[in-house]
Parts: sequence; structure tokens; C-alpha cells
Amino acid sequence: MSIRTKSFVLALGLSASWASGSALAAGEKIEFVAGIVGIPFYTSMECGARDAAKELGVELNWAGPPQWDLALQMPILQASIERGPNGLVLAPTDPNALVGIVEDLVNNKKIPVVTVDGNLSKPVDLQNIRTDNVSAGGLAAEAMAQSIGGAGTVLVVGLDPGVAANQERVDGFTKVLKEKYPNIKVLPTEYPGTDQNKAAEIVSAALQANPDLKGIYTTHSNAAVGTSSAVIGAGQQGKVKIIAYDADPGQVRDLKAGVYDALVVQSPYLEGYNSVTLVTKILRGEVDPTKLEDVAHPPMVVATRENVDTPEVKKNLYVDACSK
Amino acid sequence: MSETTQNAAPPPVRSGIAARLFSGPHSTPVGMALIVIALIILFGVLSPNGAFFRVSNLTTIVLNASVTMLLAVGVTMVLAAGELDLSIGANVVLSSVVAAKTLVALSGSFDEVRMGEYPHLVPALVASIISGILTGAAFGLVNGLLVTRLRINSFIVTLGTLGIGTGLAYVLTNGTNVPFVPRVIQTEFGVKKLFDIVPYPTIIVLTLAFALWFVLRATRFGLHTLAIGSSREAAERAGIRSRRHILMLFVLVGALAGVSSVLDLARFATTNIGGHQTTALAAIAAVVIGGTSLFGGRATIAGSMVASLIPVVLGTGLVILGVPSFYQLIVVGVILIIAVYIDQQRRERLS
Repeated sequence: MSIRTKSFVLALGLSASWASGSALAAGEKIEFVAGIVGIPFYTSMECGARDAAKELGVELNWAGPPQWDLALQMPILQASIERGPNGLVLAPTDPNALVGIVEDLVNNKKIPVVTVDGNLSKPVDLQNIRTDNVSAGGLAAEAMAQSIGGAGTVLVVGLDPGVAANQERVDGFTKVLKEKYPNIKVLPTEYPGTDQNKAAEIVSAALQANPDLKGIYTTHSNAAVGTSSAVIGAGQQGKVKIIAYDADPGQVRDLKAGVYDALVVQSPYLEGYNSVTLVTKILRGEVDPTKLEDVAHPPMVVATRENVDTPEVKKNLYVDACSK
Repeated sequence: MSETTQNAAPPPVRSGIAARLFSGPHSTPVGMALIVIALIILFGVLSPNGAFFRVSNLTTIVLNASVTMLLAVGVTMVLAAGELDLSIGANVVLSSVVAAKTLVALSGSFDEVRMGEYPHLVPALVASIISGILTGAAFGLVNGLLVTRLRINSFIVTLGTLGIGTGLAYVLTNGTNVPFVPRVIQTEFGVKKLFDIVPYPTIIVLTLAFALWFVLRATRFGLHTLAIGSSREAAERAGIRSRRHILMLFVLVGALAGVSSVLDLARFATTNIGGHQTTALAAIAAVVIGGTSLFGGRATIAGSMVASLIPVVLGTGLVILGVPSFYQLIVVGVILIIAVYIDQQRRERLS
């Protein structure tokens, strides 16, 4: 590259940054890179993000991959950065791989980055907003203890021990049962991955081996689907209680129908709403990023047949599409 | 396995249906069946209170293996002709999405369905089953056309359509399972057992498998399939229209994937968007372990069916014995290799 073209590019770059500076007055541009799009959990997050953007008068671009996959998210993240945003909200699909990019954005490019849902292995972001999965596992344990009357054998169906956030859901559950409920026996955790067939197979076998099995806790929706199929197939619906994670519309219907005894409900709407609000406030100088805690946990609820229609619980249930 | 052993086992060319039915590579289905029985006895003796021996346990094992079994039967037919289908898992997912969407759309209005009411359940169910099977067959037709018209290797074609099918399923559903599928199809069919013993889906799988066993062993269609797998050139010189035949085989395995998708839908009362990523491999593994040649010309449907049971028998048995999850993976791998080794030794002694 000759000196002349170099200076031309530099001038272009300067004028571009000046142009974006003037756009700032009209409303900051914020990019939101989701972990996966389409599922009700992330759709609810999108609704929260869009509501915050509308209230604060910022321009929001929402994008994300069709699967929870770093390789698919990476090009989307890169494109979002190329669009030259003032701030970024990112749901990291991998705790390690994205640290370098976020560090560069925050330290060198001076673009504030808030992460949601997943987290980074090194807190180079300004704040991480996500469910406290250990506490959520504890809530599930309390719900289980209540459902089975404080005594009996229970099984945990997890995802894959390598998935940290999911493992926390398992650990929080077993910890609370061990500490508070000595009369509940917890079988070794099973890990079917995302495969419904495998989950059904495991639960069918566990029901055979443990006639005293009283409850099953599932940490993700595929495990819940396989588990409920096996429990219904064994004619044990209602006798073996199922406590499941998340509150997709179909899951809420099945809660009401007695397939599940309780649902541990996260707050994706608040994750979206709070993250966009935080980035905007940092950009406007209303929040000092150096004074933020590394992690913020939005509140959670446990939905049961009794409380599912109350306003406090209803507002947390996940949606397929934002209400107008 | 050397070239000569493949060629040494020609398709049975004998007169009379009965002779053809009961000839062929018997050793592997029998050997595999013995291994499965040995595993069942072992787990039964070791399990607490003989829990493994319970009839409900054994029938649930067959139910849990049924989709793999049906797909393995289809793969056996395709492999018999020397072709491969890696896209069956994606086909099941896509077909189940179409079947589920049809069912939800036709069984009631948007609000009724959300409330869990399905006023037009029966006609919607019929349409759903037909649409699922047709989608599967159409998927197979595309595979078959690409293989036979463009003359692209079936391994590559179906690797491509595997991605296309999965992508289409995601596009149709936004990457999430189709919600609000009526649960009655699960409680009244998917997990229900005839006389409380035989699961309904298993009856369908066994019926179809028996029909295809008959087709492969006793009909001209089966004979042509094996002939094409043994030597495409020889088969064509003998007047077999191999391209048309292979196209039909792909449509057949696609339709079986369509049937599997409907069974899956009934079993889980939802689609299985996150599943079936390793289904094709599991089915192909069962087929090869069961004694079908990866290179065509030698095929045994009974062997494929028995071998489909092995992973489920192991998975169930190890959970009942309380073997921790991580060790299960290791044990399943080790036993699989031992089983095939024992069977191979046995066959060598017999021949």
C-alpha cells in the first residue's frame, strides 16, 4: 500500500468516525449478538432488548446463529463489529474463544460490551448478566422436596458435564438436597446430551431399577421431553414428579396438564432489557463501568400449577413472539 | 475383510420361495441374537430383584430401539445395492416437523390449540401421517435423483442433503421444537402397549421389517437389489435397470424415515429438533455389525434388527446396574468390539 492510498484510507476512516459521532446524537447504535435465535428463551430476550431500545431511543440490531455454536456465531459477531456500533451486547457461546475479541473491543476500540446468558472465562466485559444457575438448581431442589413430601429417591437428568452452566444447575440441586433434606436419596446424575431418545432410554431403565423413584429433575428441555415420554409410558405420570427447567409455551401447557410438577423459570426478558439499558447508560455517562459488579443475576421464579396464572409468574413465562 | 470374501457370498439364486427365505448368511443374525440373549441373561442376573427380566423392561427396550431398527432395515436395503444414505436422521427431523406442523395447523384454531383443545383431531392426524411419510419419500426421491441422474456418489449426495434437510427443519421451526402437539397421540399410541405388553410403534416396525425381509429374500425386487450390489455391470448386462432400481430404493428408505418421524412424534408429543444427529451412524453401524456388507451384495435384515437392540440393551442394563454415566460410554464401546469379534470367530469356525 502506497503512502498516498494509506492517507486516503486514513482520511476515509476519520470521516467515517466523525459521521458515526454525529449519529450518536440521534440515538446510539447497539448491536445485540444472541447465542441462538428462534427458541422462546431468546425470543423473550429479544423482546426485552427491543422494549429497552424503544424506551431509551437507541437503534438496536438483533442477530444470532440458528444453533448454539461458536463457529456459526463468530461470523455474525464479526459482521456486527464491522457495522461500527457504539455498544455491544453479546451472548458468548464459548467462555474462552471470545475473550480476545471482547478485550480488544473494550480496551482498544473503546466499545462497551455487556455479556448475557453465557459468560467469559475472564471478566473483560463490563458486566455479565445471567441466571444464577446454582441458585436455580437450589430452587428446583426445594420444589422437588415439596412435590415428593421431603423423602424418597430422585434422579437428575443433565446435559453434558462439559457444559458449565448446565452443570451448575445439577450441582445447585444436589447441594441443597444434601444439606437440607437427608431423607431424599439422589441417584448418580445421567447425561443424555441433547438426545430425547437417549433421555427416554435412561429414564425407562431408572424406573425399572428403582421402584421407589419419586421424582426426576431435568436441566434442559430435550431431557424433559424424553423423561416425560418415559414416565408416561411406564404409567407413572403423577406418581413420579418431574421438575423441569425453562418455561416455553408448550412446557407451560404441560405443567397445567400435570406432566410437570414445577418449572424453574429464568428471566430472559430481563436479561435483554437490562443489558441494553446498561450499555446505553454507560454510553451516556450515567453509569461508571469501573464501579459495576462482574456479574448480575436477574431474579427467577418457580412456576407451579397453583401460581402459573398469577401476574408475577405469568410475566416471566417465555414467548414465541413479542406482544405489540 | 478381503475382496474374495465379498464375492464368495453371492445372492441366493435357488428355485422356490421357501428355499430362498431360509438360505443366506445365517451365521451373523444367529450369532448376534446369541450375544443379545447372553447380555440379557447377564444383566438379568446382576440386576437388583431381577429388574432387567421384567416384561415391561424388555418391551420398553424394543420400543426405545424401534426407530433405529426401522431405519436400519431401510439402510440394509440401500446398502444391499451398494449405496449409502447418511441423511436419514435429517430426513426424520424434517419429516416430523412437517407432520407436526400439519397436525397442529389442522386440529383446531390457533387459540383452541393453545388451550389444549383439538376439535378436528382425527382428520388432522390422518393428514399429518400422510404428510410425514410423503415428506420422507420426497426427501428420498431427491437423494435418488441426485445419485442416479447426476451420477454423484451417494455418500456425498446424502452428506449434502443431511445439511439441507436439517437447515430446512430449522427454517420451518426457527430452530425450536414444534409446540402444542396433542399429547393424546403419546398417551394413546406412542407409549401405549397392546395388552400392556407390545408397544404399538413396535408392532408397526416389526410388520414393516418383516415385509422388507420378505422382499429382500424372496422377491425379484430383492434379488435385483443384491445383484446390483454385487456387480452393477453384471446386473445391467442381465437386463436390470439399475438406475431406476436405486431411485426406488432411496424413495423406500426415505419413506421409512417418514414413518419413523411419525413414530417419533407420537412418542415424544413433539419434534426432535436436537436429536438424530448420530442416527444415521447408529443405523449404519447396526447394519454392518448385523452382517450386511458395506460394499453391497450381502445383506441381512434380521441381523440389522438384532444388532439395533445391542446399544439399547447395554444402555438400559448399565443404568439398572447403576454404572455411572461416564463409564457407560466406555463399557458400551468395549462390549460392541468384543461382540463383533466373537461373532467373527464363530463365523470363521462355521465356514
